[in-house]
Amino acid sequence: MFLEVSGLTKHFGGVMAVEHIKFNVNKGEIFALIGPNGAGKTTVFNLLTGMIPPDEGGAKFKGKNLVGLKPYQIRNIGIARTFQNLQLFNSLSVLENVMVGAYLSGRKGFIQSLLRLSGVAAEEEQVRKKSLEVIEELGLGKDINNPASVLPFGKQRLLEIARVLAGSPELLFLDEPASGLNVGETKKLANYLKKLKKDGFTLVLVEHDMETVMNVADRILVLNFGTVIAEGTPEEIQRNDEVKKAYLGEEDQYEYSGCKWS
Amino acid sequence: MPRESLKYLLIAAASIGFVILPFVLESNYLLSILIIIGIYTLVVEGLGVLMGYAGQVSFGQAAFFGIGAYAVAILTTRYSWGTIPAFLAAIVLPALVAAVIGRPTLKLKEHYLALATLAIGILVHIFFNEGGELTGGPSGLTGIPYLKIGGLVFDQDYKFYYLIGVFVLLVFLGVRNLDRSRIGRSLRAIRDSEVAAEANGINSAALKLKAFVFSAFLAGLGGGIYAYYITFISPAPFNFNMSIQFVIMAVIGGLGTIWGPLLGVSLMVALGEVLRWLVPLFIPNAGGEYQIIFYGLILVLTMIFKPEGLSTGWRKKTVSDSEEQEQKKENLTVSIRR
Repeated sequence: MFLEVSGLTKHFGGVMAVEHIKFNVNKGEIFALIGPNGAGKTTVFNLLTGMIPPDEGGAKFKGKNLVGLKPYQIRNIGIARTFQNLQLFNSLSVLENVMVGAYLSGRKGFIQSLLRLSGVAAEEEQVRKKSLEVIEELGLGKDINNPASVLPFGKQRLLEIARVLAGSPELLFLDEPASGLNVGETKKLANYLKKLKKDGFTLVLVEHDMETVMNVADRILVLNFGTVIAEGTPEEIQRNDEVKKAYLGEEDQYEYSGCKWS
Repeated sequence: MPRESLKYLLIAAASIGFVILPFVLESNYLLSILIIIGIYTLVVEGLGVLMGYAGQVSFGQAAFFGIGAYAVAILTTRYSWGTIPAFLAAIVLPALVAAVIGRPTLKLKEHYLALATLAIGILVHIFFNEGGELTGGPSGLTGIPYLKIGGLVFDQDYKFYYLIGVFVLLVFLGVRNLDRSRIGRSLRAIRDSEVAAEANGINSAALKLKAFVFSAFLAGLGGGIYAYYITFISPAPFNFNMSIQFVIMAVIGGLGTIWGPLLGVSLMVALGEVLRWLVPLFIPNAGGEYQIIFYGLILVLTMIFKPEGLSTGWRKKTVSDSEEQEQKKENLTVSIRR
């Protein structure tokens, strides 16, 4: 199994963030996590990428246990992520941001860099070339020397994706890649995600934009209040009554909806 | 004239100026000030890497500087080591101490290193004062021999001037290399967002530790040269006050720049000399403490008017700047709308 998540549980104080989450991701597919706000999607991401430790349960990536690994160690075994609230290196240029993403493809350490021993320049050039390719592909070519902080929001989102791609991860967690993007940008993104799948990447995404999710995902896991309420293909999920309830509320609540939404 | 050739012309002029300066200067006093500036620049260059790249502060650089100086003094006078082995010990010892205190503290997020180095700085200073026979107590150690490298004996100021010039140049080149490498980039990335740096595979604790050890290494290098230059050391120049001065020098010169430390050090040392001459004219019985007022003032003024440091140039506001601001506003509204 490529990614195997079993019994993942996390409390924050008395609040149950996620409880006994269980799912598998196959190599080469696009897997989406959806659910209403506060359902625990980002918590699942944070648990799987070592940002926070789980209370119970665990996850295995290609047979390797992920529990207890630090974020950088998880990145080392081939899992990368983007952030819902962008985490760019604001004072670094676009090119530098992407080159940091390729950190693991470099081998030269502190002393070698300090003395610029043989091989350092060649390695820099290689990383630079690879980064420029990724930047071109995402259409950020005009901005390579601009600091990340001055890019418009849509481009900043793309830059985050470019940054993780430069490190050629096997498994990619994307936390709301389409949020803040306009319709055109979202469409482009959806096509790009499909292309990534074709290129052999495995993607797990959290996304609120249902059109995008239904369009790109092979399988969908639906969370509500920290538990799994459904799993299946987009068609199955769209037909699922539990899911409809989670998103729209119980039928007999409709009469109150007027008050609630006013 | 094209920019590039102007740059090389400036570098050539500066090099020639550097070489002939000792012959032009009539007083040893000015030369000794240049040597002190060079020594401090080594220390501050390391601190600049720690602060400007790794985003960490050390309030104990004077202690590392002192450990370097005392290593030379103790090993040459008490244990009659050769001057080169003692010099190497002066560089290695502070780096080792930094590795030991940095390892646990840099695993913690935020500014625990600042506190740890503050404590180490005070501790080391007490040790210099109370070390009895070993450190010579408050009166210090005398009789440090001249540094001998091959047949060359560093017994005169102009020789030290060239020696320190070479070291400063090497350190400049090293920091420049670092800046343009995977490591420098990663350090700056950690400073901007540690979370994202880790998510991209960077072991931030390990990298920050290396930057800290490097800063202690350079402080020790400066300390070793200082001991050989002054040939007499006491605890006084290695106190907390000096650590603060190093931090101020790094900040006013400009963090994350290569020339910033040299500029910051030159400014502070020059200011110190001017004050030493000027203040007694107005306040005859003033001690040394008043200086810190002016250092504080300089720091505050820099923070208000030029927070990125003095070496970054005074850019006029351009069209692209206002565009940049517009863009930032736009981003802000987008994120608020979300």
